[in-house]
Amino acid sequence: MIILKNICKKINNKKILDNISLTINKGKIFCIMGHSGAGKTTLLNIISLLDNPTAGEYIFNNQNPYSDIVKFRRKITMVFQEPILFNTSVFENVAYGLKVRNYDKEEIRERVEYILEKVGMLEYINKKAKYLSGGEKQRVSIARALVIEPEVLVLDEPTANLDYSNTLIIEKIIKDFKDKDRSIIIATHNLFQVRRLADEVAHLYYGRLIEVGKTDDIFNNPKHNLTKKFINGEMFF
Amino acid sequence: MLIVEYIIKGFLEALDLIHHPYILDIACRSLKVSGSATILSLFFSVPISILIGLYEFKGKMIIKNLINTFAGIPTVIWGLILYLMYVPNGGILGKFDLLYNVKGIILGQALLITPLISSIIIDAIEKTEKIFRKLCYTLGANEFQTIKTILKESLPWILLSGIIGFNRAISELGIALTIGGNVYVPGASDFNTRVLTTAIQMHTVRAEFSTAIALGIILLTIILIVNFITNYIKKSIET
Ligand SMILES: Nc1ncnc2c1ncn2[C@@H]1O[C@H](COP(=O)(O)OP(=O)(O)O)[C@@H](O)[C@H]1O
Ligand SMILES: [Mg+2]
Repeated sequence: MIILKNICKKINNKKILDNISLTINKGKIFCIMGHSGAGKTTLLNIISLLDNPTAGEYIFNNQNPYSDIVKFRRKITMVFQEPILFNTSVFENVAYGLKVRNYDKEEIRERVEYILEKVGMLEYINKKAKYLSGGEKQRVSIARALVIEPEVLVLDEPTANLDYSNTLIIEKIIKDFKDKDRSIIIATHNLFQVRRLADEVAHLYYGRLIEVGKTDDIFNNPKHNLTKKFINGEMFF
Repeated sequence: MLIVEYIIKGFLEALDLIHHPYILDIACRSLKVSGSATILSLFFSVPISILIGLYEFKGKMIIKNLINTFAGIPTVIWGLILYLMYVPNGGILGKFDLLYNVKGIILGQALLITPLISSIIIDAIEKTEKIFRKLCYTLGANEFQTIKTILKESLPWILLSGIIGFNRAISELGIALTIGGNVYVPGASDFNTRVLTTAIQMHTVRAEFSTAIALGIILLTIILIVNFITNYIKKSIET
């Protein structure tokens, strides 16, 4: 379980995140929705221990994750919006997280093949990653995170650059990964995606958390005016 | 005789001359000298550039600017500086017998290409580190594993920097001429310092065009091959 208390992030004296308090439970898909520039990526980076808040408290399973950052990072894996792949084969890319955790060779091979099969990329296993299309790259970068079976999977706009069919493939992969012992956190500005995937939603607006709740409650009965506008598609940027 | 005729005649004779032992001897010396200079330079520029590329510290910007400035020093100025360093009575390296010696050219060319090589490696490391550090972290790599990955991803650039450095070394004239002195005594291979560029210069001013052209063809062929390898590596880096 992740608890954020009054998390703030300032860059060059500009408030990017302002007093974010959140609880993210296991077994759920948690969506952070908000317009572009709302601070979603910044928040995900902080949750993934890739960036430090300038103020506030982060509690991970009742512990302080900054006490042993490498150990806690290994429980949280983030998939970036732009798929970044190593200049190696698909296999080497997906195997990376297992190799740095010193898994033995056979288990690595087994798990990589299993996960590539799941994302429909097994036939590309020996291909150079740079020759893949955008959708294929995104699937590989998601497979590379899933293969680790992290306790927390963090996805930053996982389908923002993809066409509809690739979007559905990736949403299915995400749903299949849902498990009672895991949290999945997704940042997106796509309302339809939120409805299709999320159990819980947080609405981020210019670095402030406007509203948090169950997806049905938020969509059927938004309390805040700005959330109402956002889900009615009346917010344009 | 017309200039054009000179060139055509020179070119035809040059084709025969290319196999000549004199020409091959000079070409081999050029490859050895500039190859050694490149390897020597890589020995110190690789570790230093990796450290500069990976870490943030005070004065980093100044060092990078300094490196770029040094990369722009004309070879003839290098020749002058090195001469003053090598000169037996008074030079700080005077007692090492580097003047009119291939060892002196090797050291000189190594110094010449070090800023060039370093700036390529530093840029590459900084770029790869920006792209991959967070990725390595989130996939669970510790600091050591992260740096290992960054270096692995930069490896083609390090190779490339060596090749670009070699290209610069083998085509420079100022150092080879000032420090080497273009010495050539048939059979005295230990003392000879004549390399492709100094030989081309000398034969040209002596109006021995066919020899100059033969040497020129060899130098251009080497540069062509080097460029071919460069492009190949660049292509493999592209994503
Ligand atoms: N490194 C940075 N330096 C300065 N401003 C930044 C930096 N990173 C993000 N920002 C700013 O913070 C705000 C939130 O950015 P981001 O978290 O990327 O939003 P989102 O992912 O919701 O689009 C934006 O206004 C952005 O310009
Ligand atoms: Mg973003």
